[in-house]
Amino acid sequence: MSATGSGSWHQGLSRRGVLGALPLVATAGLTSCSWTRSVHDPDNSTSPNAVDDALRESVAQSEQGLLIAYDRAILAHPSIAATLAVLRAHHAEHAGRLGSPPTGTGSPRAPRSPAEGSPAAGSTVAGFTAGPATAAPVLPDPATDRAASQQATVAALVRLEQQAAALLRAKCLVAAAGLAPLLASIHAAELAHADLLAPLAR
Amino acid sequence: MTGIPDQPGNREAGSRAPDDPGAVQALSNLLAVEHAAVYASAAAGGALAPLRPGSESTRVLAQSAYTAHRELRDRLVAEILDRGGTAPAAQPAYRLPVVPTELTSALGLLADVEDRCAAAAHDALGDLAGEVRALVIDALAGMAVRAQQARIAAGQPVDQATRALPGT
Repeated sequence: MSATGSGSWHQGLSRRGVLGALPLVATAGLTSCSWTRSVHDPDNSTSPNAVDDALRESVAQSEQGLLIAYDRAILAHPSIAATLAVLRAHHAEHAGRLGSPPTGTGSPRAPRSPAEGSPAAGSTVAGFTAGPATAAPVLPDPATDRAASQQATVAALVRLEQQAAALLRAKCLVAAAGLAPLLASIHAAELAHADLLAPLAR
Repeated sequence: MTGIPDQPGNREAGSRAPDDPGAVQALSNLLAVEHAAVYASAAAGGALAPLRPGSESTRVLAQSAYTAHRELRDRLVAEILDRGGTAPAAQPAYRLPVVPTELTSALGLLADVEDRCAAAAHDALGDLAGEVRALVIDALAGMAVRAQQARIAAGQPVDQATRALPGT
């Protein structure tokens, strides 16, 4: 036994047993020093809060775009809707944590015909529109080949998740200490989503 | 056998003051958990060593976990030393939260390990900046993916196998 060792991993390192005290310490000192010291030019007149607010808003927009993409995919492909709904719920939680409550009810909205799609949001092929922070994928028409369409839809979701994760990673690197863990967690969730969906795209 | 240290980062920080005590502490806390993860992922893989039917994919999971945690451990040690800190050493052995005896328990251990590491990585991030923050961002994502893969491989439904916010 070492001097510091006691109990099993289960007891001694219960998930928050060891680590739970850290965030309080970390967040206390962060807003005042870490941000300017290590991440940004100290002479920058923009306050950390303003930067973080902008980061939150940008990521929240990305999450809203993902929510829309999932809504439409769920509607178009009932056979995988249950899986997609789980991931959609994650994005709703992300949006909520970022201070941007998800729009909609959590159930897919009625499909819009391409003619009704918002031109400002980019392509609306197959009623699939990406949000402003994510590239809008072009999908095949589901009416022509549902199986191939499902694979293409899932492949598009995988790309959206990966693109959103790449943006999050960049934003996490410049976020203040208080926001960085949340962005890193969302980043991890989105790469895990992509990993989960990838087999369904093949 | 020893447990994981109760206060993994509570160690002397070397003869000179570390360049960035907050970062060294955060890295040391994460390293202490990574030491245990290396041990645990080796144990999970070792339990599957006699090639049993259907164990190949789990062996691959255990191997990738072992490799990832070893690499992260080595990077963390280097980063701590670079900052003038003293890297906490590994314990000779750790009491495992799940004893891996067959596929299901090996997968359970692998998922458990990754969840604990993800929590440690998440908690370290606020005190890190620049390249070492990027290191831990990527590590957290790898942990989330491997934990999910282990739960999926164990047959858990998607809503239980996935996490909205890994590490929290």
